[in-house]
Amino acid sequence: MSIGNILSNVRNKPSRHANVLLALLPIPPKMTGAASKDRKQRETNHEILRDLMEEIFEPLASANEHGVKITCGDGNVRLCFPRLAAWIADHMENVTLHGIVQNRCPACEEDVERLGEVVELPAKARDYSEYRRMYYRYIEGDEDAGEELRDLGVKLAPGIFWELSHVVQVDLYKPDILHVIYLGIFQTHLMKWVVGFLKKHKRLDSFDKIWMLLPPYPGFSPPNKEYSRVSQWQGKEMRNLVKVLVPSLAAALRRPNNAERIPFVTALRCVRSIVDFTLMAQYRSHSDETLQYMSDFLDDFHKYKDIFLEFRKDKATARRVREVRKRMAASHTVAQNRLRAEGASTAQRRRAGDDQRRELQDAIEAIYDDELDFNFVKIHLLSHFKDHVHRFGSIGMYSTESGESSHKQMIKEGYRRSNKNDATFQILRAYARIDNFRMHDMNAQCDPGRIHSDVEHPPEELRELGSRVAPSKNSRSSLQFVSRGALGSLPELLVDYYRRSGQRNITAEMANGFHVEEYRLLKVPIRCFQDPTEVTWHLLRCTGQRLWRTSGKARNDWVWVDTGNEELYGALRGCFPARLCAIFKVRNTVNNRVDRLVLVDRLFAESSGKPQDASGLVTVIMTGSVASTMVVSIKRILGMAHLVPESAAQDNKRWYVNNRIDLETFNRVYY
Amino acid sequence: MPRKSQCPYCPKRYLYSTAYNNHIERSHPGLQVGLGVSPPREPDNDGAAHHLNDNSHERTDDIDQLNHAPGVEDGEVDPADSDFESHSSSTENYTGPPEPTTYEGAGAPLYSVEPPPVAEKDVSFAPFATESDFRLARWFIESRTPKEHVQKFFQEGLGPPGCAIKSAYTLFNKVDQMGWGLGTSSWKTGTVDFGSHAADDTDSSLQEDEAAPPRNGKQARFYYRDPVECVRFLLGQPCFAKDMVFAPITEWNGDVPRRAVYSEMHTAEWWWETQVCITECWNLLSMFANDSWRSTRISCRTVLHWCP
Repeated sequence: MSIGNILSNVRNKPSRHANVLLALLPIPPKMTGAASKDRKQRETNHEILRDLMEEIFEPLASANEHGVKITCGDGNVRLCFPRLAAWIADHMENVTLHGIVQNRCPACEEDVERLGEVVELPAKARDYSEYRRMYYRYIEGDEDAGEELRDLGVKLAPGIFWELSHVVQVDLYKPDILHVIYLGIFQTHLMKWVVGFLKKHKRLDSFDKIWMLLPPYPGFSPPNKEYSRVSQWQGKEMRNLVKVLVPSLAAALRRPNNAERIPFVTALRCVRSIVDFTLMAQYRSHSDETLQYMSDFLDDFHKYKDIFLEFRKDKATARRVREVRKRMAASHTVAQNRLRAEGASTAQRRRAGDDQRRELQDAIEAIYDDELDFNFVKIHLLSHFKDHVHRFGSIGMYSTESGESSHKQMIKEGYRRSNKNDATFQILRAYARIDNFRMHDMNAQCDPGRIHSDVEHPPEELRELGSRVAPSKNSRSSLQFVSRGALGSLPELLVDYYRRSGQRNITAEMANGFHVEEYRLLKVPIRCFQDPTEVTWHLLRCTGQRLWRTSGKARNDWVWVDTGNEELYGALRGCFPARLCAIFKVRNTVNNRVDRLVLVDRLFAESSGKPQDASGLVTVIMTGSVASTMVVSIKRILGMAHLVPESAAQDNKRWYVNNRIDLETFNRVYY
Repeated sequence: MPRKSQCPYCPKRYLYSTAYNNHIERSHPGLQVGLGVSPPREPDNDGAAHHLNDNSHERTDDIDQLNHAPGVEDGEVDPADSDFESHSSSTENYTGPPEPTTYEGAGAPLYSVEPPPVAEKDVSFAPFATESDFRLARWFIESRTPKEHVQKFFQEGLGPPGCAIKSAYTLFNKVDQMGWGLGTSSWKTGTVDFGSHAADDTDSSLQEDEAAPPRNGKQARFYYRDPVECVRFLLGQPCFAKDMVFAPITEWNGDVPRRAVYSEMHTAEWWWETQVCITECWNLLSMFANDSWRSTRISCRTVLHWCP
């Protein structure tokens, strides 16, 4: 349990201990397997749970009525009315808590048959107090009320929250990005469709190849297995997958033939809109404009999702399709044989064959249309995200993740450390001890006068170089050492840099004599998106020819270089991606200053930075010409870029700029 | 192509309000009030002498004093604006990124206690005698050292000279006596019988040596806490004080006409509905009690935020 008064960035950090364990509920006995006995047991369990909730929340009722005086941390006393506002749970837990059947939405009365459709007119929100009245009518013998409740997907049992005062039960439901989107939509459904789609069009192989070539990024660890060989997905891996799905899919579906073009574009649009929806749902602050984008993305997803309809087939449908195909193929062969016997020409036979193929196609599609739909709960729950932002603020802070990691910290770890013998008390005590010290430390450190722990300098000033390379003894000049002979023009590039930065008095000879130190690491602080108090560090590596750790490859990261002119390069908004070639520090003895510079090999945006229509991605190409290398100050490096190669070939020259890799990039590189 | 909004201080244009806000924060610091923190109010020192005993009478007294408290600004919020309904319709001349709209008086404290709770506890290492003892204990707990090894540590005589702790038993005992976290004494326990369904709730404080584990396989023990006490604990922690909000606000982005930005819970509609409507009721009550108009104030509304 926690309180909403604490801002979410504190509340959701398990290390801040802002979650308090409220209750450990008893575990009901295992089901025996006998149906009638189990039903009775289930009813008992439900009743016990309801009694417990009433017992636990009983003190809240009077507090809500009269208020309680509470001394707050700032030394003031306030009159408080604690109110139950949210119950963060996954769908199955919600089903139990709200007493509804499994395939219904806990927040509204949407019909099962319409779960997978675009909601023009949202269904009525559930009114649990009304259900309570109807239930008591049913108990008194009103069969109609019972029938109606059953139609609404409500179980005929007294609800857990019904008797709690000041609880608006429908408000307790919170959308949950982890379970609804990552595990609900992507893992259980969308990825299966995508794989089915790729298999059908024989593109799974190239998808796998691209999958193995994804570059690393802060917060994204590249997969070390082909996609199709991964059997188990964790929440974190699913998150990684969503970050790279659109460009990898775009790369796998590149260069379609004429018949493939339309399905490919539709599939890409569908995947892209749901990925964009996911990213936007994670925004920490929303305006009506971003909410509008969210609902547009959702509409797009619904519009294009039919392309994946056939991959929703279950075994029964697949069998039926097989039967139809077999039967029609047999009759077609008979018809063809008859044509041949009648002496029809080849052209006639081919025309008849085409008709037959079309007929078969239509028959199969009719079966799909008839039997398959998108009516599952998770796809419907997406439609509640937008309203929820209006009423309760951003969605990310209600994620089940923080609750689950707190659970790990409070209970699982305590259990592991206990002697497993009547462990409950040991669990509680172990956590209480840790909590004691943590609260003491936090209280001792905190200074009530301070409002925000701001970073004192703007982060641009904080860039650092690291991993200095020891200069080799036998190179003639240190500048040549950096260029490693590969780039003879480095002095000229340096002069070019000095000219751009207003130091026109430096010639190539002078530059050749400067002392240069080479580094392998550039640390760039990035302000977290929509949260100016937090900074993440991008560690940009440039190992040159040397192999990076155990990867067996050299690592020279992609970076964003800022030109300072937002009008350039279309969607890239004045930045271009480039590959790091060298990081070095130059002692400019002429003007007496030290410059921290990087040598980059830049990429050029295609079609002046206009995103591709289907995928919404910008492609960049490497020209490999001398003009593409340049020296820039490290102040111009905005951070790491994530580029996905277009093909798995060695000599690949085109990359997709992946703007879905994190929210900062998504917000900046957009159109 | 959607319209972009231009920064009022420089020629940059932004499509997204968030990018816009980031830009304002980065390039023009100090021109926008930070997220979520309403201007700090002076604690009402006159109210410090009051104690928590008498209820209704006392409360009206405090309100009285709050009205004259110097820290509550009156000029900041336009009187017409303090009406909840008028936010949506009000448009004003654009002069910069708008200030968040707050509800005047919401979340205002009743009175403050003296001294603030942090000051007295700050330096104490009770129940440990010295700071080094405290730090030793902290290290043992935070490194998750098992009790057996802690015991060995003291048996081997590795404890620092002058250390008052001589065994694992005394160490853990002292740790359990620390009153910083919401300790094990706050747990209540009860037993349920799944066989016969009779929730048998015994509201006793939890003891370690309590009855043996239930013999019947259908019986199970459960543990719970008083949610109000939990709220009291969380609200009372000085370490959360600077990240705590007590009143709803509406934040605006820089567009013309301005648009509401939804981020934290207290910027969204539910908090407004819940807290402001209650405040309104309360206001009504205090009106009758004192027979004179008071501007709305009173009451933080704690919002229970529930995690399984």
